[in-house]
Amino acid sequence: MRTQRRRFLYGAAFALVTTGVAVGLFYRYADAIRTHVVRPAIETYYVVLYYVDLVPQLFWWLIPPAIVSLVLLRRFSRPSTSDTEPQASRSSPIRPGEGELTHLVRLVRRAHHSRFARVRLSRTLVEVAARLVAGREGVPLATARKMMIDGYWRTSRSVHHFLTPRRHYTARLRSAEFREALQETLDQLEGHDRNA
Amino acid sequence: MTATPSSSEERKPIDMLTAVRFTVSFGLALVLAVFGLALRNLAVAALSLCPLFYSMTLLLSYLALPHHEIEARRGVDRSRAAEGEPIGVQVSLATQKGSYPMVFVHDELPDGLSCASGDVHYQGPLSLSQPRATLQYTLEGRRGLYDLGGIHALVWSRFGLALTELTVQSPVTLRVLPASEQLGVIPIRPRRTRAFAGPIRSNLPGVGIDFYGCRAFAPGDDIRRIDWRAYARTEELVICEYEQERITDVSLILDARSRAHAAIGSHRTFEFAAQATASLASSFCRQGNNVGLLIYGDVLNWVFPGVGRSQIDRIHDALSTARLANKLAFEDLRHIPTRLFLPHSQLVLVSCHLDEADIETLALLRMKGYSILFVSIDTIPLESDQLPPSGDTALAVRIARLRRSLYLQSLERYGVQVIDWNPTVPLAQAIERARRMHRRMRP
Repeated sequence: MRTQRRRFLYGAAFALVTTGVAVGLFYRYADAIRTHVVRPAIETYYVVLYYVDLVPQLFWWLIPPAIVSLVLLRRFSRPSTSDTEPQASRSSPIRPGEGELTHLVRLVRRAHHSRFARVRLSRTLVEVAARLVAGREGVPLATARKMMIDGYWRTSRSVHHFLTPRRHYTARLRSAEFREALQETLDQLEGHDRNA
Repeated sequence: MTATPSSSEERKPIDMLTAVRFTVSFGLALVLAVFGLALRNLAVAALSLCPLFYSMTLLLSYLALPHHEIEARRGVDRSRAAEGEPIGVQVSLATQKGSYPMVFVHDELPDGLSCASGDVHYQGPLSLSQPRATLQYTLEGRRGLYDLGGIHALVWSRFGLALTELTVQSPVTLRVLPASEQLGVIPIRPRRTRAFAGPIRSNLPGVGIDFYGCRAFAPGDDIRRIDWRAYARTEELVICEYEQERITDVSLILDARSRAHAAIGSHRTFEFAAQATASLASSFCRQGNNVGLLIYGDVLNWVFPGVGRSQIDRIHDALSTARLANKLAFEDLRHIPTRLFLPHSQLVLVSCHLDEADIETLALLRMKGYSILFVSIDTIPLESDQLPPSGDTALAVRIARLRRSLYLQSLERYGVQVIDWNPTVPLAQAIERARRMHRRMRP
């Protein structure tokens, strides 16, 4: 701390002494300074000004490449998302920090127009139904899954499509009938859950 | 608690503002003077007088700044507090030699702590004649461990031209514990209990409250326990036995896998899990049980089992620094280090997450002979409040509820006790509901 203060004071003293010397020199050698320092400085100023006039012409050669370089530099010097975001789980499709319900809402929303999302939603419901069947029928979960593959739920066409784990069944559903089919399936499952 | 009085100071790389102002004003004066002399123009040279005067005044003000030592003493009324509890802080400042005409003091708080009342700033003179200047305020914070470090002071010269910044060290460590609530008796039924009396039913005959069974009188039995009505009916001496109540070993497992928790609006589900674990630990310890804690998700974070008030403090301290972790090795519950738990003891798992793999793991633990209490935090109400109301949201809520209900039913079929806790209501309420259900289901 003391060193910094001392340095500051030395700097101020040096500036004062330099000023004093400069003033003295100007009084003593005014003509020589005018001839050898001031006039060449003014000439140099005008020469520099002449070349600076070229800058507008150089504009198109300098600015666009500078912008492109800046953009490229930002793009390639940016850290990867895997460095900044938490790692996604291997086994869970849920994004880190996101709740299960948010994931399901996204899945249902996408299922209106995406066959892939519809298949994934169907798989989720098949798992739920298999667990329900396993509890109700008193069979192991693996057996219940097999029963689902064999088409256990045949109460209606849409429910059968939703709860039979075959990709083409769900994918065949049209977007318009998707919501009704999903609602009917959920009604069925909830009814069975209440009765069980 | 009082921090050791620490005198100043770390002076910031010099008082940059003063140095810059001096350099600019003096440079301007120099340039004007040089040009005036070069052009032999007195008017231009005279222009340099104002900045020169300003820079010289600045220099003199800086030289006249007092450079005495500031002594700071930071005291806190407690170094450990639960979330929401205020912590009173008092910072007193004084100089030992000279005086400062004007000081602005700011006590910097770390992220997570906030000033609930009072003021963390002080502005005024600091001199030998007047008593110490004090800052008084109360802090509140989120769960965590905090170091209160430096107190920043800006010192002005008498006319306010020059200033300098000081950092006075007065370190204090504060620990904010997770908020815990008072819980009633928690319905657990471990297969193994300890030898000492406690509140847990041990499935052994002896002295107790709940009826256990009858047997024929044997010499040495207490005659007060003879069932005289049975004797009147059968003319045989019969002894009534009651179930012994003992203490047990309880291992709490806090699920700290980042995939098991979510950030829902301003809520962090991990905070709910930490609060529930703290409440359960306090409750089990107060009942006299031998309680340990495993924070599952990061490197082995284990509080060795113990009893009493000090064990509650140890567990709360561990919970105050618990963080979510994202380790592939601990991605599912399969790698729970069961060697840490006594065989046939009671495990209590607190988590928001439940999937097929977790159910299988809990079933396996149950098959190994552990009694398991699963405190499942229901995040659906919180999440559904945050999501925009729409048909898709309603459908998703129905699917989520159905799935969750089936998962919990599966666990109950495996013999895992479940406490379904909606964090918008107190945990005690959820435990009471589970206890009523448990009583109803008992034969």
